[in-house]
This record gives sequence, structure tokens and C-alpha cells, in this order.
Amino acid sequence: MGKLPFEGIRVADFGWILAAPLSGQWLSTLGADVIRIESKARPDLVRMGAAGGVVPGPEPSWNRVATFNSLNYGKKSCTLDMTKEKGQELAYRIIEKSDVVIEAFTTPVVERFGLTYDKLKAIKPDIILIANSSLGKTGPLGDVAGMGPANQAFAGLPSMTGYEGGTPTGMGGTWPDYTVGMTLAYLIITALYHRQRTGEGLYIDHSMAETVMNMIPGQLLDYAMNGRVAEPRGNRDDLAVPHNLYRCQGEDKWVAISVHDDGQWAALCRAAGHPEWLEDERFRDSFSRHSNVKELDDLITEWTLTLTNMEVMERLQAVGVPAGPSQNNEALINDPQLQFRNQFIETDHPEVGVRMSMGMQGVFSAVPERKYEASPLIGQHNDDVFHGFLGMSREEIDRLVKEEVIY
Amino acid sequence: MADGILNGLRVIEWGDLVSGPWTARLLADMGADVIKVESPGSGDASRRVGPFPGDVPHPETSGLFLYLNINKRGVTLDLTKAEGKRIFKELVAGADILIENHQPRVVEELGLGYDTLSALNPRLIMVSVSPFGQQGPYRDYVGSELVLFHMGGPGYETPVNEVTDLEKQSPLKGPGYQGYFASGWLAATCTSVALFQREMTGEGQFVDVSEHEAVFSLERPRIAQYTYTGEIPPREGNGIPRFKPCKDGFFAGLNVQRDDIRWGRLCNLMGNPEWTNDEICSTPESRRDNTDIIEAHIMSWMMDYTKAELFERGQDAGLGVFPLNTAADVYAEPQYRYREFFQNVEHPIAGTHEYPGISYKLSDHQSEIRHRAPLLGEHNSDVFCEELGRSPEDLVHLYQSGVI
Repeated sequence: MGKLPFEGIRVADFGWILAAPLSGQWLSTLGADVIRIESKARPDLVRMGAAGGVVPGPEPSWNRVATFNSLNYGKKSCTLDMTKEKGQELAYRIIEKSDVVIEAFTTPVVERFGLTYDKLKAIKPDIILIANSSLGKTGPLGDVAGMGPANQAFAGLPSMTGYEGGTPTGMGGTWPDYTVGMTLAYLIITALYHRQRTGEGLYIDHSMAETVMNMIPGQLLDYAMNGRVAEPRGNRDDLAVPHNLYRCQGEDKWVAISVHDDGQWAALCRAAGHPEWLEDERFRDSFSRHSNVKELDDLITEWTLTLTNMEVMERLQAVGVPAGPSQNNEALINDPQLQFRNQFIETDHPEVGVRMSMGMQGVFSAVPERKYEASPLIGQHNDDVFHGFLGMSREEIDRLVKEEVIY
Repeated sequence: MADGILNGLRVIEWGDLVSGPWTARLLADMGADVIKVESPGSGDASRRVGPFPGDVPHPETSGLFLYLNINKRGVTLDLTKAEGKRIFKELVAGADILIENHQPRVVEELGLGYDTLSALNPRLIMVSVSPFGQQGPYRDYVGSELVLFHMGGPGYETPVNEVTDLEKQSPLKGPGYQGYFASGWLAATCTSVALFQREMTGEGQFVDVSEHEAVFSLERPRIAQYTYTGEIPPREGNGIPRFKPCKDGFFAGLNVQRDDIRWGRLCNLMGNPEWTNDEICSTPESRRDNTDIIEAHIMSWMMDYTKAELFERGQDAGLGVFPLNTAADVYAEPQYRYREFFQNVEHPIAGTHEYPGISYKLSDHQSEIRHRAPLLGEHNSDVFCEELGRSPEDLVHLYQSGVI
């Protein structure tokens, strides 16, 4: 099927932590040459274990980190101390031959490292520079630091997350980093498309908090339209009922069920072996079911407790009612649909060997299989990049290593 | 105002509720000409969701619909009718991109699959968003935000830290449509890949996007964490809230710090109270092992300060901390005002309201809100008569026969 779409595209990836590296991984798995520019003086916090997944070993290592290694497939890694002028010069030589630059630093750091758009545009007039930050690079708070979990708070998301009547709480994982990673990938790739057609580069200033607010428009508009301040709603919904998690057989096993119309309700009653629920005045229509939701949930739980969550899913899906198990990472690995669709891939990594991790999403009819190679060790490609790519002599490289420029 | 970077692209959206419409909205914000196709009569399901201004329900004033369909034009077509299909195919024949989010079986049964449509337009990029994807054992399963959020994994980890009773506290869904929005971002990203590739090869393609996988992708490191360390994140936590109460609300990011630098900054912020000299605070390990005690100290200190005070002092101390804003707070926040994130949009029936806007800025070009969401069938005449050459009499006849 020919070439991967981004073969021939080069990315200078200064993006650290979670969201920005994921955007670079969209490009590397689709053929781009992505060079992570890292620093041992200031290693990626994820390499240092900030987001978990570190394999213990006799010596601490920045390379045996599951989290890092599932966000940097097939990238190269070189190390430069960007606080040194010579480090910046080498970075500029890479950027001169690159199409995209990714950065995720605060404004003072961007300035100290010399990674402003004006500067990069002077080096490479059609460069695409994407800047990811908590709150955007402009405005009174344009230079604050902050990561996903705290950042979602500034966007208001946790104020409407939690059990009904409960206090605000956080969403799982490191929300919203992986949605933001896709957002950044979308912006970079549309910019590349724009450059294909016009020859123009682009500067993109992305605010994570604003992307979070883009995903809660109903709650925000309820304030704008009606002055109502959204609160946690648990697993409930204003329209669908029943709409909740129900306990099943087994330890801490749950099934999600949502019923969106009277036809689905009738199908559920029959599938559960309780056609008499259909005659029950309390549940006759959606309005009544909302009014008697506690009794309704109790009756459904009595039924689901007699089955496994997979059995409930199969019975309800067979009659067109949305239902499925609550899954942790162990259950996800065994999910037959995800397995069928090749969502688990293997890479052979120099320090941890062959390991399974998550593939990329989206199936294309005219794009060859994505390229899944191991994530780099820190500085693994210093020789490739500085000698092979920039053509520097090994003596000069050694000197710069001693001077802690390549560091 | 400068052009959008996708000016000149023609997109047909045959979408419903959130994921398909959000995908098309992302393209529309960049200047693509998006024509949204709805069913005559009821239209997009998001027209019934709300919120409604003044709590008065009306199919033209649902906030979710009005937000998701900004910058698009709208037509109606009954795709179960032969003439409806014929017109739909004419639209698709002249388009760059078709975005749809229906069950795979529905699209096939209507005879509007990629094979049929690409024969009319080989440059067509067709993006199909479905609950579980176009193949596999769950292909024909139905989805919902609730079901997908829990099947994909994030529900199991929500809420963070706060589950102390596994029987009473079930896994929890995120607010609204987090999974469907993530699906929209994923589909838009895939669309951009196909566009880039088409510019080189001249050919379109079919893109299959699964909402289940979009939600699953938000658990990205968890799979490797399991295969590297066997780690299954426990649902049960220590009960310490991620967002701790302070004098006038809740606050994020003031937690026990394992690394010494950040711990030092936190101690300075609190004025180095005496308890910070205790043995239990001395090393990363001792701080981890005594999290409960230390967190209790931090929480009692926080109660004397407002969100604004903690934010100013915390950021000054070099800690990435934030106040927990409410829906009311975000509208008042000067940072969002400065970036003009919220935008007034006028609508003839819904009135003028401030909508969440666009989360990025571009140099020299602009992504912006250019016009409000369409009324049901508002652009039937523009599109069917002026662009596809139907006569005004045809339009009346199409209406009378229920096609539009």
C-alpha cells in the first residue's frame, strides 16, 4: 500500500510529560522522523516516575517507565542542555531541517530556551510551531505552570464530577492529557495540510483548560442561559432512565445500562424475565421511571446480581439495549473487540524487552499499517542525530558531552 | 479577518448527537464549508437535550445543539426515501469529506456505504464514527456515553482516591459527554491524516473510528503499566479528596509532595509550620507512608485561605496549583476573558448567549465563530436550488412528499 503519510516529515519534539508526547506519537507511528530533544539536567517528569509505571531495578533508570514508553513509539532521543547557548545552537540546526516543532513549556522557559515563534521562523520560515500550555500563552495567567489534573479544576470540570449530591471529585487517569494529545495532533496535522497547499508555516497556541471547557458546553450554557451552576450528577442522565451502574456476580463487578426510549425499556423487561415491570404504573413511561428511579434501580440490581456483567451485556445487547461492563486495565486487555481491532501492540525495548502496550486508534483504508517501534532510551540517538544527521565529528561531540552541552 | 486554514473544503455531515457533529464543528471552525444533513421533522437528537433558555424546551433552542453546530449550514433529507438518497449522493459527489456517526448496519441497509459513495467520488474521504467500529464481535452492539465511558476504562478509575466503600460507591462516569467529545477529536485527527495523504496521492479513503477505542485511548499508559509491573489501579483509595476544601470552595494541587524540591516549596508556602520538621516529613518515603497525617495538616492549613489567596501564593511558590472553578467562575475568569474564549452568539429564537469558543489561536489565520447553528432545514433552498439546481417548484414538491 505504499508509504506512510508522514514519511519525509521531521519533528523536533520538545514536548514533555503526557499530552505533547502523544501528539508526536501520532506522527511517528504514521511515518514521521520525530526527534525528542531531552535533557538530563531536566528530564521528562514522566521518565522520573511522576505518572507511575516504573519497573524497579538494581539502579534507578529513566528508561524502564511504562508510561513514557507508551507515548514515544519510534521516536529518537537526543539530549541538549537548552540553558546553554551552544545547546540552543544545536537545537536550531535540527529545527532548520524540521517541519514541526512541539513545545510544552511555560513562557519564561520558552524564552530562556530561545524557542519563540519569531526566533524559529527566522531559522525556518515555514516552520509549524505548536505551543501547549495550561491556560494558553497570552493573558494575565499566560505564564502559569500546571498539569492536567489541576488544570481541569481551573476549567470547572470537577465541580460537575462526582456522586449525586456529593462533593466535587477528579476523573480517572491523568485527565485531560490524552484528549489534549489528540487535539494537538489534529492541530499539527491540519497545519501540515495547510502548508502543503500554501507553503505557509503556522504558530499554534493551545490552551488545555479551554479544550476541557469545550467538552462541557451543556453545563456551561446552563449557566449562561439560566444562571444554573452545574453540580455532580453521578451516573445519571436527564433523558435516559434507567441509566446507572448495577452490581453483578463477582467481586466489585458492575455493568452499565442505559435505556433511551420506551422500546428499549420493554426489551429490557423481557430480557430480564420481568414482563410484569411493563405493567407497573411506576415505570410506565420515561417520566414515571425518572420519578421512581430508586425503586427501579433496586429491582434491576436484584436481576443483575444473578448474572456476570458479561452475561448482562450479551442479553441486553441481543435486544438492542446499550449495556456493557465496567472495565479496569486487566479487563481491557481481555476485551475481545479491542483484541479483534489490534489495539494491543508489542515493541522490543532494549531495557525491558518485548512488552505489550496500547496501539493507536483510527483505521484507515488507504494508510499502511502503522509503525510501532520501541520508545527511545534517554539520549539513545545522540550519535545518530549529531553525527549522522548534523554531520558533526565524533571529536566535537565528545567535547560537547564533556562540556555538558550534549547532556 | 484572515481566512481559516480549511477554507474551500466542502464537508457533508450526516451526524447525530455529539461525536459526528463535534468532528464536523472542528473542521467548520477552521473555515470548512460544512453542510449538516438532518432528518425532516425531529432533526438531530441533540435538539432535545437542552439546556433551554428559560427552561422552555424548543427544538431550535437546545444549548447542546446550538453549540455543536455553530459555523455549519443545515438541510433536511429523509434518507429512507429514494429521492432523499439521490440528493444525498449528489451532495456527497461534490464534497471532500463525509462525516457520519450511525450504526454500521444502518448505513449499509440504506445503501450509503463507502463502496457506493466512493464510486461517485474517488476523492471522497468518508469518516464513519460508530460505537464499536466497523468490524469485530461487538460491531452491531449499541452504545451510549455511559456504557462506552465504563467499557473504555476511565469509569473504573473515577472518582480518584475517594472510594472507601466498594459496594456503595460504584464506578463513576465523567460529566456530560466526555467520551463522545474525545471521539470527535479522534475522528477529526484521523480526517486530517486522510486529507494530508490525499494531497499527495489524489485519492480519498474510508476512515473507521470507534467510540469505544476513543475512550479506551484515554487510558493509554495503563496497558503498559499492567504488562510492565502487573499494576491494576485499585478502585479503593485513602479517602483524601483530590480537590480539598478551603475557606470559600475547593482547591487543586496542594498535596503531599514526594520530591524534595516541591515539598520544600509547599513548606515555604505554608510558612514552614512546626509539624513540617517532624520525622515523618523528612524523606520522600516517610512522606508517602504518612500521607494521611500530612494531608490532614495541609487541609487544616488550607481552611484559613480563599481560593484566590491560595492560587496567588501557590503559583508564586512555584507550585502548579489551581482553584476549583464552578460554571459561574469560569465565565468570570479574567484569563478566559482576555483570550476571548467565551463568545456572544445571536440566534433568532434562542436569543443571544455566551458560548464556549475555540481553544487555540493561530498566527495570521483565524479559527472563529462566524455564524450560529442552522435552523432545521434553513439552507434547503440555498443548497438544493442554488447549488444542486433544483427548481423552487421541486423544493415544494420535495417538502410535500416528506423528503425534506
